[in-house]
Amino acid sequence: MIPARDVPSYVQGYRFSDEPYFYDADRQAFRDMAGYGDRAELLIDVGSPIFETIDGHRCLKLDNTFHGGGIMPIPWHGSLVTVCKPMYSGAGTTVSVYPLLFGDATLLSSNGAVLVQHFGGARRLYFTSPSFALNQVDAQNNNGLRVTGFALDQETRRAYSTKDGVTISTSSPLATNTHSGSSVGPSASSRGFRFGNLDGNPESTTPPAELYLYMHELHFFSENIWTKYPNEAAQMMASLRAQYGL
Amino acid sequence: MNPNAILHRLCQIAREDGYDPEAMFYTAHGEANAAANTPESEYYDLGMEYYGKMQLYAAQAMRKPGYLAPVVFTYPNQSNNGDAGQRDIAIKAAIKRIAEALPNAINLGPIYQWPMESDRVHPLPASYVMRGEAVGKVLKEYATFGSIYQPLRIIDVTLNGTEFVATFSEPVVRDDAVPYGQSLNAANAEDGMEWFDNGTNIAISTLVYEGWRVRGTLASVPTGAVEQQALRVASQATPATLMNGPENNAGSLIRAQSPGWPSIFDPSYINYKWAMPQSYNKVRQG
Repeated sequence: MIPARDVPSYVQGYRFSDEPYFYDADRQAFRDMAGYGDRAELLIDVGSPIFETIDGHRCLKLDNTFHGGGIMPIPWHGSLVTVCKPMYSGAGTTVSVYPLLFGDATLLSSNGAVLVQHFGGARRLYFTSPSFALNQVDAQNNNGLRVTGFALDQETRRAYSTKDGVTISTSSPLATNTHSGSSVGPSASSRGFRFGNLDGNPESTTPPAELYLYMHELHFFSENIWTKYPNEAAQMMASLRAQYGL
Repeated sequence: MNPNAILHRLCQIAREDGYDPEAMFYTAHGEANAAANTPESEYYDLGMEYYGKMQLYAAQAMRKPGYLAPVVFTYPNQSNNGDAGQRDIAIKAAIKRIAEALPNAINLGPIYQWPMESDRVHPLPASYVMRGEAVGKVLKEYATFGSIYQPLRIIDVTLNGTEFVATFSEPVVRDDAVPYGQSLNAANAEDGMEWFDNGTNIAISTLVYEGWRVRGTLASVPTGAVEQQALRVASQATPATLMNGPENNAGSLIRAQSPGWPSIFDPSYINYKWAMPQSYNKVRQG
């Protein structure tokens, strides 16, 4: 049972609670839990964050009415872990939202992303490199909270996903490219990540009609922890699952 | 290019080979922004943002949250002749402010002392190598001793009638082995120094070198208030028409008295500490 900061290569992380230890309300800044200080904060610069208590845990209701971002934590490759609860309330429509966008391309699919999509009853949670060149998905047929781990790996040129840190799903490898890692990394841009801008339009604060999500935690690692540090990664996932009653 | 990704990859490779990587930076920038007429304040803001981020990226790539990477700055040669040289001066002023404000910045000073191409912008190929030696030297001194290199700069100026006294950060001498900038504003400038009275040149008649101080005589008594006086060095405006030679590039004949060191690449070239481009406007009444 270990926290994310005890997994090697932990580079940035946030707990989306409004408790002062995690959040500076005056500056609308979520503190970096990896120890890199003010410069690695996640700042909300459009709108005001909405905090709610879900299943006994304070969290953010990401509905596009507020958004912000931070510096790029995994520019080469790496892993991320999300604790979130996608909420779909429609009647079967296919709809997508972008809780995380890596890069600043106007065409959303040209950015790396964490993408939530409702499709045929499934709430799909993707981690993808730009243009869906490499991605993995975690699908669930209800609005339940989930702990999900992902990775994009330049060495294997595969994407990874896991719900428990033990059973790891992998994509097929991308073809070898000795000149560029752009299709494997989450972004070819040195710009940071956008957070909570669900429709990808920086000017927009309009809530999507049928899909939003509750976001509890977000952790980044600068390596593929599922293959490099499997024991620590599995222990961290067990800790998170236990913390959220899974 | 994604420098953040490069940092992470290089550090990863170094770790896998058993090293403990340490990232340090050198930046030689400003030409494009001078051409684009970027204001000083905007260039300063961009620089503080970019270099601050690079320091964070380095710490993250090294996995050392407390690490603050050193960043070495130099001042470009002429970048753009626009607005009678004012665009260059704005960028150099911004670089100076960044080098003063950014934690762990190292101000290496000018690059006019290394021979340039005829375009007045770019150094000769050999000059890039020799400048690289100088950058490496200050970074090695930082890594080994924790010392921050200090450029040669004016730290105080007093004015009394037609006489001014400029105090430098260390003892200086006049060195005319190469006539840096001597053809520029020749009627008013002396050894790369220029005096401005509320924006108007007053010719400098003579200069006397006295250790830390350079005592100068102006051709006339300034009419503006003391707050309107400025002493510039190595910042002469260049004519729009390209002219080859070090005498046609902004520079000075003022260097530190301290001993130089020979280039490894070309041992016949001796590196000295030359006066950095500067516009000193906090003149005191003498």
